[in-house]
Amino acid sequence: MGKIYTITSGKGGVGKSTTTANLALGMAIAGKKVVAIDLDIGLRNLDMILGLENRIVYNIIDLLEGRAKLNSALIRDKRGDNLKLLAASQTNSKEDLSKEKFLDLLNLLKEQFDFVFIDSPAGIETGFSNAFAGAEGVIIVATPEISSIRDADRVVGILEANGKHNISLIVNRIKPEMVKKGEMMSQDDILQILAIDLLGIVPDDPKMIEYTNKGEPAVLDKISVTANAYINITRRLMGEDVPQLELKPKSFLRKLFERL
Amino acid sequence: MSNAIEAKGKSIVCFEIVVHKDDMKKIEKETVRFAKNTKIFNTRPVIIKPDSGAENLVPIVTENLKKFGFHLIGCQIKQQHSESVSKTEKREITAVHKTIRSGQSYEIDGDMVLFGNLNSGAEIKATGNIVILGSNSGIVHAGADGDESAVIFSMKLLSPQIRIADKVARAPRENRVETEPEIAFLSSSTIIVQSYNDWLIRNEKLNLGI
Repeated sequence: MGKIYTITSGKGGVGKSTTTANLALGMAIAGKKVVAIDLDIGLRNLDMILGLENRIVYNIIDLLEGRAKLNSALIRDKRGDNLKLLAASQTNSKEDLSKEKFLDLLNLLKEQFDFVFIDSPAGIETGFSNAFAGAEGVIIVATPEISSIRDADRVVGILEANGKHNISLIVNRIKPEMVKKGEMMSQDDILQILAIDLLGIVPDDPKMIEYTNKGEPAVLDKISVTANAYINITRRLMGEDVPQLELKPKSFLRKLFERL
Repeated sequence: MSNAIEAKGKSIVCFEIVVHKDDMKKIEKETVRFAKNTKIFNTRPVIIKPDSGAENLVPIVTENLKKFGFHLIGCQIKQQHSESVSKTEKREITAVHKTIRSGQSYEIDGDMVLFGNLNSGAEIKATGNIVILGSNSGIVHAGADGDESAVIFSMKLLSPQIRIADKVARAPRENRVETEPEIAFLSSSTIIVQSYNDWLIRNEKLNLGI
């Protein structure tokens, strides 16, 4: 039986889809059978981040409404067999998804895959409640900004009220230089407010835009710190005990080196 | 180098005028007689100490003493503990053991004690006092039914806004760094936020009538 994780945040633009793409691909590289579901219906972009845009024929609405078979709706990753994408529909709205049918689909996918990652839409409306309804674990992505933290806090409150207690946190886009100067909240400050488990921290990486535009998630760039951060998180999800990354501000030499 | 100004402790002689329970006419007569007889001492400070039950006679005594130019520096009234305890026992106290998160709100009849944090975007409304044994970044409203004696205590006060009765106070614009426990209360229609220690000292003084 596979495990279902929902990736959510409350606030938009904090890196939910990027995180989903990297965790799903990281798991696939580690040899697990994974399906990534884009539930941001009407605003799909997980396909672009994974570089699979041109392969979409059928989407999740087509599948749930019986216009497509499961095998033709699951898009095979161009890098291997382990990862499958279930794309969102761009022309429908969040309300077009039937929750009951979606939960049935999750039960079916659980039998065929080791991990199911659901990319939740931003906000706390129908789309969000559909996204976490069938999940065993919820991963909250937050950036070290007060607006993101407050929204994450709201989401944790809603999840707890709905009986979801396996909630963990990924702190995204940490800038070690700013944390050191006291200009940015540290992961400890954030954890103190949210009072949930820390799943991992991901440093801010200017190359992220490039990865997204190319459709090649950061985990593929194996020498980068960011890839390491994501790989550590996937290992923790597989039950390994991996220490948290210690992010240090970049030295002058290192910055010079990167420029050359 | 010697200091230009030095502080030295000095005990001063003062009168303590004890007022026994009696009828008003008699008190007035005796006060005037006392004031006349001790007129040469009227540069001395005076403290008035009524017996319990004689508090209502204090204004007559003070009025008459003032006429003869006495310096009144205070009035020492005994606390009636038994009565105040029975009053507080009647209030309901609600204790909450959790983090109150953004979007969650509590409306409480009576006093509230929160063993946890009140996060940004969360709200508490109580008809009595609010005690937050954690950091407080939410919006709190004590004395929501108009009780102006209600107070708000927080271990770490970071709220953007606090309300007592029908008064609202905004946080200062600069980011706060203080971490000492603080208390907010109403004093002549203004919300005052004070370090809890200072507040305790102030209250001690009030109780002693200093």
